[in-house]
Amino acid sequence: MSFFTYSPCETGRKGRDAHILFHANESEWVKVNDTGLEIAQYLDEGASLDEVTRRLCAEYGISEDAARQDVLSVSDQLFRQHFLDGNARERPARFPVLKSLFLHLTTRCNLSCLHCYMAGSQANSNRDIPSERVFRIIDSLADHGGTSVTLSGGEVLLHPEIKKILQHAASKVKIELSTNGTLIDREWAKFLSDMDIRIQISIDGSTREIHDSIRGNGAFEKSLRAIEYLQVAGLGEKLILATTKMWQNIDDLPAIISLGKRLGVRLVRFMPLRREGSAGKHWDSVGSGVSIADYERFYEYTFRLQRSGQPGIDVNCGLSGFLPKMPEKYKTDDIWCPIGTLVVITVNGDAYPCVLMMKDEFRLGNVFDDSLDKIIQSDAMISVCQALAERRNKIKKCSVCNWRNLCQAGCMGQALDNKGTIWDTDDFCDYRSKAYEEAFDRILNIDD
Amino acid sequence: MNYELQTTNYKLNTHNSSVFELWKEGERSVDVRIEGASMLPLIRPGDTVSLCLINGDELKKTGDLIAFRQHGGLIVHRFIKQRRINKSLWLCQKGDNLSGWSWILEDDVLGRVEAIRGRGKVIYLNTRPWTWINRVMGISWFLWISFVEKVRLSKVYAVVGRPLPALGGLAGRMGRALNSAYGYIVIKAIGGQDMMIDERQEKKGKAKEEKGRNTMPKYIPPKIVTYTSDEILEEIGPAMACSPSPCGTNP
Repeated sequence: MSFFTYSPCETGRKGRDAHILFHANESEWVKVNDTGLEIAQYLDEGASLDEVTRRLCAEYGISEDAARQDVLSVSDQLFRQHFLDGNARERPARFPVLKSLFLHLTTRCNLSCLHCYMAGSQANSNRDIPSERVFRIIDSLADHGGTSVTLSGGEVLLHPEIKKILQHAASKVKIELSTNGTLIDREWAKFLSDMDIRIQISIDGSTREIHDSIRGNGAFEKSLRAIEYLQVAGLGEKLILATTKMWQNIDDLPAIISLGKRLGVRLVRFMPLRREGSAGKHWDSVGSGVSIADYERFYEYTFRLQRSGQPGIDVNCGLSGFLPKMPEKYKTDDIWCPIGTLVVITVNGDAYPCVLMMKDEFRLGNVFDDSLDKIIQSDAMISVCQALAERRNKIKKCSVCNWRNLCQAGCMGQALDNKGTIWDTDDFCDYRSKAYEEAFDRILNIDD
Repeated sequence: MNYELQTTNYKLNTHNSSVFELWKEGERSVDVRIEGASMLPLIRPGDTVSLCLINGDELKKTGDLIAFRQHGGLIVHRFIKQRRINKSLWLCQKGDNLSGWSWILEDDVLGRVEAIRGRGKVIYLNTRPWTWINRVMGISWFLWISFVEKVRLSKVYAVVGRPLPALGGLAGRMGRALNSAYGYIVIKAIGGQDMMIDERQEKKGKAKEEKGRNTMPKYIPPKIVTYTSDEILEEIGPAMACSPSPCGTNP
């Protein structure tokens, strides 16, 4: 079969004469009516155009000319969408090409957050990547055609030569700075406003009580003041709030969106809590009290908010793999996950394919010993890219799922976090399925 | 799945309490054929009503049509008002075409009428103007019942021991006049408008389809529709545009 179908349930609703044809291997799909489906099935069985025309004439008593014209038109459209050569085409693969780096520049930090995924592994060691090495890495990224770098820590602004690094990086690539914001004063804001940079500030609560209970006393006011300074310096459009969802703030998340609106930032991004570092140690207080249903309730809230058409701010709720139609920017290889285009580097130079996969089994090499070229073309990177394309077929429940070429088995890193293996789905597979079903039921009912 | 039941409004028939229990457990909607005339002119003998399962304490709106158990049968009447006596909730119900009314326990209420099918029409009671009409009817019966109750409690009644014949006749005439006005003005005036779907048309269509099936199926030209991701976002809402990656590298 070069496609599989999704048809409306027998609920008596309208749209019964409509079906979705999903491509067997790609994210492509089309909507067809009963006759369209019938012709597609005949063609898929290997019947020739003449044969299908004859069958239609016999079945409906229509003229041969009319039947031939319809068969040709269906076959044309399906071929254009690569439907009928599904068996011949292999699933698009991800070939590793370096586009961006995620650099953990330092382990220094002025806060000791309950949920930090870095703290614990290298915390309190006060280690930095020397600036000369950072320059070389960024130069190498730019030479490979890479376009962006994310600078993180620890608290990245505590790197002794962070200003030099920022100035150097800004001349080569786009920068995203990931900071807790507590060190940003007027002078910092002025300095940052002179470069092409996006600044992500961590806010884990909409009130001082919640935020400070996670990040320590005084952190909330300092972060808010930093946002104010950055706004004054004209960086409002480049500001992002980042929130890690956890027990302390799970009911506060809508209020954080409102706070983001009040502060005039562009985007609020919600990230999953990972059982790593400090969060692993404090799991009982940050993670164990939150159920999957709590997260799902929040996803539902953000969906409703955005459906209302007036969220007033961009919100990324953190649910991965929900794309009823693959956006153009992912069409090159039909894979939405950035793995294979990104290298994550820790302070000791170890390279990994994703922030969520910083484990020995996925280590790609060491940037102090190996070139970025070697790292990006390493066997470890190639095999993780293969896994990216194969998960949807090799994970048993995905292999029979309608949405497998859209969600692509969800986020690999989150599955690793939730289930301890990339060969499973994350905790939100059921929720995603429901959301897809709802979306496609609506698509089936569109009057075209 | 819908169960087809029969109700008789006062004539007890085929009802079996286990069917009700099954219905309650499964939370299904149910179609019931009415045989009695107690709800004339709105519901005529032979009409079918669609019930949705509710609990007695969910009833809040005067004038709603409710189905309840009485003497082992199922009755469809109008809900008028409620009263709490010793922790039990009692509901006052009345048939539009009956002069009397009675009180039932909330536990006996099974469902609310959502639609009435008959005379080739379907009336959806949860759409306007039927919600208004029901409310007006409910309030009118409420006032009428309150008036009669008050008269019965009056001194004259206490002395005589039964309603005064003249007053009883007056009350009866008022009730009938109200019901006639409702039946012949409101239903006739609104009944023929767009909100009703002519079932006869549907039946005709089905018959035609059946006939066609015996010869050759109707040919509907094939249609294939593709959408861009922007069109899909527009159709199913920007909610679905959540960035796919939570890792902070691909916002």
